[in-house]
Amino acid sequence: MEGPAQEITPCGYQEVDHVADRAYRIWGPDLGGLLSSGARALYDLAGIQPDRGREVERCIEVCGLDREGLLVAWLNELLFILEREGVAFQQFEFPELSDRHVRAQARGVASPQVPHEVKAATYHSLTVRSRDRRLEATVVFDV
Amino acid sequence: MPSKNDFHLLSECLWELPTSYQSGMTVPVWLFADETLLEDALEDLSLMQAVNVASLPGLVGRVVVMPDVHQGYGMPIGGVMAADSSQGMISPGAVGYDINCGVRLLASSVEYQAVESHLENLAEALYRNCPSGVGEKGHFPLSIQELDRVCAEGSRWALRRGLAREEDLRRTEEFGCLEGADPDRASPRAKERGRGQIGTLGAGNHFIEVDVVERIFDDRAAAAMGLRSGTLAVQIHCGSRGFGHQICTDYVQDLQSAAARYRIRLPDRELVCAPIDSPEGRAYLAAMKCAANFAFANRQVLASLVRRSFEEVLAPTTHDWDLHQVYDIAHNMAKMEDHDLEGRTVRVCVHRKGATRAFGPGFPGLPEEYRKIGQPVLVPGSMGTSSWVLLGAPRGMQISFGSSCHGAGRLLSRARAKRQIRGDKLRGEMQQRGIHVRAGSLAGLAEEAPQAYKDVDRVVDVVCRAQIASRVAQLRPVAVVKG
Repeated sequence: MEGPAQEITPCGYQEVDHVADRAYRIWGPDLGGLLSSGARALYDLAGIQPDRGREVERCIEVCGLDREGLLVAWLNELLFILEREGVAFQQFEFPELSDRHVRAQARGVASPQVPHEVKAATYHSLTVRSRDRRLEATVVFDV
Repeated sequence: MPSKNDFHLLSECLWELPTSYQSGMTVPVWLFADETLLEDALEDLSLMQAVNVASLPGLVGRVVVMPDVHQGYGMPIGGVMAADSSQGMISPGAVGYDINCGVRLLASSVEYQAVESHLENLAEALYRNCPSGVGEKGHFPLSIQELDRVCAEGSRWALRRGLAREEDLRRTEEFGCLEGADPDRASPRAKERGRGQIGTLGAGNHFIEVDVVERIFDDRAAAAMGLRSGTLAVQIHCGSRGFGHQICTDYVQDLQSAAARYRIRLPDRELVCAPIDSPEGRAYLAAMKCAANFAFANRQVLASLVRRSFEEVLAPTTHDWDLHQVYDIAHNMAKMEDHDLEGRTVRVCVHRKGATRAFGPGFPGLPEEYRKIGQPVLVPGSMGTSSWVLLGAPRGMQISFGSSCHGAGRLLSRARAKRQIRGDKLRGEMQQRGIHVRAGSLAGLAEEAPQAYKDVDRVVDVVCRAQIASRVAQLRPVAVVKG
């Protein structure tokens, strides 16, 4: 399932072709929006149905050397929680957010089933760019 | 991006991209390919990735690229690099996320024609007994302490649990255990991911496949391996599961700052690395060995479950249903090896990502029954196509760091494969061809369709023409189990 078209929504994701694995272009009005879009792309890839399951609230905190490192650390943290607990988050607030650190309050659901395996979010060709007053990146996931 | 004109032919099916192609390359890139596969390789970023790898410090010889190459991250899938043990780097990205993803081949005396009517039940038993798919837990949940023992012992752990035979370990690369694994170098997070997954297949391109030995090319080698035409064999393809994935994730992240500290210019952040002889490098190698040993144990447990399935279905009607091990090889690994380079022996860390060790005759690390003939090299085809058993050849030790191809290599992206191919239709086509399929996901099945991969027969032809391996047997699938 692809996210909404880039021209319409301020936050979103769209799958792009990659030979061996899965890649998503993600965008958002700011870094928090980008992290949120990345999360949704991850859950889309994993085949999660976000509206089913027990409600969960969690504080998530990660660091990175730069915005790219932060994005990879963020996605891999979400992946770990997804694999270990089946929890997928739909709403995020970012009381602390910089290019190298994020502490988020996340709300979501615990899904009984994770249909597709995702090994990791990678650094492959990853650059967080500013364009048209929004942040964009293309993330490759190892499946 | 390199073009065909940048390559020159060194010998049959061996091309060189010289260091003059791009400033910063310290070694050339050697590609094993015929003209068709060279053109395929130029369609994606794989050869540019090989150029990036060739720009890392401390490499020796050349970067080697196999004919089944396709784009990965950092190192292309199908890539081999050798780093000097004292001056070179170790890179998690040049090993891969699925550390010690590999293949195990079991063989039997069971005649296919005698049991053809039982194959549907056999596929069902394999699907039921061998946990597969996302989130499936294994039959042997581990405490953290027990997982630490798996890290240290590899297949020996399974032997102690009665899930292996001595012959299985003897016929496994490194005898099923890399020495020097340190469980303290694997994070609690990695252990949390892995502790429930021993003896599980996973999903994606992992599979258990029942094959018929279709054709023998080398009678002597086939006899040594116990392969006979018309009999059943089984391939198990999987790796270190979430345990290995997390170890790679952890170290790719941790080494980002190390690369800056050691002033390593990274052409690609997935090639992040540290000197082999550094605290960071040693830590990664010790953790990687934990994942490698987990994967050896994982395939060993699955082999025991495959044997259980064969017994369950075939023992009532078949006198000798047993499966013996032919060999077990890794295709994502970094190992310290000695290689001859321009007349001198050098100790190097050989990184193989989507490439297999393929040592020739005389190597002491082979079991006695294989020492005179060479190491078995297992090359699974894509789903529904042939697979191959090859032998490592002496010339491979000279030109490819004793390495060969690992499979067919992807042509189509997963997304495109799912758009073009319907999983239910594919399953039906395979059933019509006499291949019994059990799959947890039809979308996953479509992703693994034969059309999504290169021609494995052509890939094998290239490595044989280049004399880095030789044919022993061709296998034809009759049942496939996927997550």
